[in-house]
Amino acid sequence: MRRTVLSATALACTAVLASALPAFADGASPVPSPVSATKTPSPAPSATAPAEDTPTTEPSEAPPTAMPTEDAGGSAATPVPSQVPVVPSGAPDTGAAPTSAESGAGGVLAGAGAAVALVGGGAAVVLVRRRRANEA
Amino acid sequence: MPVRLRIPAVGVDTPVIRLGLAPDGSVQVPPVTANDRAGWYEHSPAPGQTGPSVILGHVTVGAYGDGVFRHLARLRRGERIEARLENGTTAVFTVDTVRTVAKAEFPTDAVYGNVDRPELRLITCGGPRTGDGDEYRDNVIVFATLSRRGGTTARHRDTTASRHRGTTTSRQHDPGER
Repeated sequence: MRRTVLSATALACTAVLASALPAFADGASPVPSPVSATKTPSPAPSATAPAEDTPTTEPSEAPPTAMPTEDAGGSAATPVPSQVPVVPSGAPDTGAAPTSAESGAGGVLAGAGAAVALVGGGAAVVLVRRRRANEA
Repeated sequence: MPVRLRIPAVGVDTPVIRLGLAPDGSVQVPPVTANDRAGWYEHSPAPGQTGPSVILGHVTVGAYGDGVFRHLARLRRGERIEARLENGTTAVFTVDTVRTVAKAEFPTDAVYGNVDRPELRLITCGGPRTGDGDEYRDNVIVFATLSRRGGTTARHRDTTASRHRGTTTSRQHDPGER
């Protein structure tokens, strides 16, 4: 009887152990599957990594786009408002030559000189005639 | 706006009138009168402001004889020019160069172009007369730079003017200058 009980107990333990191991194995297999699931996320980060790369490239591209806009601003600054907004054409005529005036003045002087000469000549003639009249 | 211009070295002390554009697009010049005056081009900066302030005057005024800028070509580097403004302040300039250029080659950019400091241009006619002798062939242009801003005393002006007169001998000549 004891033998039967012991053998049954041993058998039951064996059965429990035997059932437990495969159960462990089964249990372990789902665990690795989550591990494989962790592999799945790993590609995801790798996908996100490129996604991060893209943004990093985008910002690097963004500054160039910003640069041209700054350049555009600089080129817009090139036509700086002129300090003389209305620039005259040609050269200024800042000399009314005095030639005509000089000729006019010369003419006046010549006329005055001629008048003086005439008056002087007439006076001389009168004086000469008076002297001759006195002598006579 | 400038109201008076003094150039002690060549005996200029004149009121300043305002000048605009003539109908043909050239700059107006002061009227030919017995009491000749200088004129400030109203589209240029006032003396003392950043930019080329332009003041014009006649070298001769026909039957009236000498113009207010008759001896402008005698100016030398370092000599003083004083422009009194209507607000009572005086901008003091120092002559950099005196150029005589043919009117046909008037240096528009050098005269009216942007600069990074307050400068002054004095313009008159010069050189030999052309044609019937009624016109001058050249323009005399004085380029000056602001050296001081604010009021000045007569004694200081006289001493500095005489000092400049005694020490400055250099003068900028252009190929066309005689």
